[in-house]
Amino acid sequence: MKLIINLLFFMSLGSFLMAQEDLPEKKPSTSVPKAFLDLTFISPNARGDNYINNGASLKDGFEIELGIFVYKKIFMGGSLGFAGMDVVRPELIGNATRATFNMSQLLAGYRLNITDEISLIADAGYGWIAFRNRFGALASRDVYARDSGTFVKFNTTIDYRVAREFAFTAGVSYQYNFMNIKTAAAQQSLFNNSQFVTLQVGVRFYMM
Amino acid sequence: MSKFLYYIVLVVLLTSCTIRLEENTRVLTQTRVVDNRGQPLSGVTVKVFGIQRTDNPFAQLGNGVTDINGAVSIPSFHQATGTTQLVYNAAASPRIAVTYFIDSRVYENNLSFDTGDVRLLTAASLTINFVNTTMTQVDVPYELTYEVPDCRQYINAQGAVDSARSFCYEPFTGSYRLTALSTTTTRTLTTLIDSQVLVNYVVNNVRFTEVITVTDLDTSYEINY
Repeated sequence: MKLIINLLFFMSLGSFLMAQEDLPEKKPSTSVPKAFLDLTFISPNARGDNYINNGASLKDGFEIELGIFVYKKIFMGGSLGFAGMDVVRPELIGNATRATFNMSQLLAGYRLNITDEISLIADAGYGWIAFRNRFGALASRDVYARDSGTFVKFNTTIDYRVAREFAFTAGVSYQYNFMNIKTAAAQQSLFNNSQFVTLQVGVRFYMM
Repeated sequence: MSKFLYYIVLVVLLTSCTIRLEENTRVLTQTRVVDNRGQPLSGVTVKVFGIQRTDNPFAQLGNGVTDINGAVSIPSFHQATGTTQLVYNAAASPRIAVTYFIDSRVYENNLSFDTGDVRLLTAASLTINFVNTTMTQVDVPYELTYEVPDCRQYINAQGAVDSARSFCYEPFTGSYRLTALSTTTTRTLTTLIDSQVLVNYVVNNVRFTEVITVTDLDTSYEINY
């Protein structure tokens, strides 16, 4: 439901932006862009037998991605993402109440034009993820614990250009996190990884 | 200059209110809860707390509930220094809360610690009615010896019980005196179920001993002198 609300918001934003443009530029162009900037709402969902999927509930977040075309339709870039999670089964993963996490990534990908308006982007990346776990402190103290790791991520988005430099996007990504958490041997396999399947909608600004 | 000092003090105050737990670490506490006959107790809540300078926990770091075998393994966040506190509590019965104070360094080797069996006993109330049948004796000294329903174990960095600080259901002897010229004097104490309470009293320089076995949650016993 939140995703739908976000989508409606961006659609109305897009309509507003289009209304500001001159009519001759309204028609989508097939010219090759130099770069693009994505602003995306992400809805990560945990998968697999690991501490996050077993004991936490991921919350929606936000991601910004920059891609620069380096050779024809091949681009390289980076992204920054932020999201959160609530701990729902502390007996499985420890008694943090909630966490926020951020992700930074270097990526490379390919853009495929399907029609004049529609294109498909696929990219893969390697990045760093850091969780800040917060606690319901019993005293007036700010208590937190940090978890970190690296990840590989495979991402596919489809965009629909409504103007020469503006498009709506929707996509899905798979992310495998290699967590650095050390624990007893009996539960190491639960804490050394996590996996996300992320649905995303957003807008893309092309730089021509 | 004074403004600079103000900001320095502000930063120090803000950072002193923050506790940062060990990064990228979860420890595992394994424990098994039994009753006074050594039978496993299921449904016992075990909470893991972090303690630093005082005995007041600053946060709950983990929790678990014992299974049908009385066992539970609790993953929790970890502080490298200070004390990890385990609190055992069976809310559904009048069992006594047991507290373990564990030196957090005990987790250093395997990131786990096994407490072994923890006895969680049941508290019982005993009411002793001293009945003066002669109405002449007004000075009767007496002693009560009973097991105190309190258990606190201190585990040092090597994983051993610090016997100098620990106590668990230990016997306590108190000396009292009946002085009032009344028919009945009542004393109520809390001890353990299935335990024995020893009463020694002296009447006219003659020493008497009574042994009371506490079998119910509320037991009354009458001593006539």
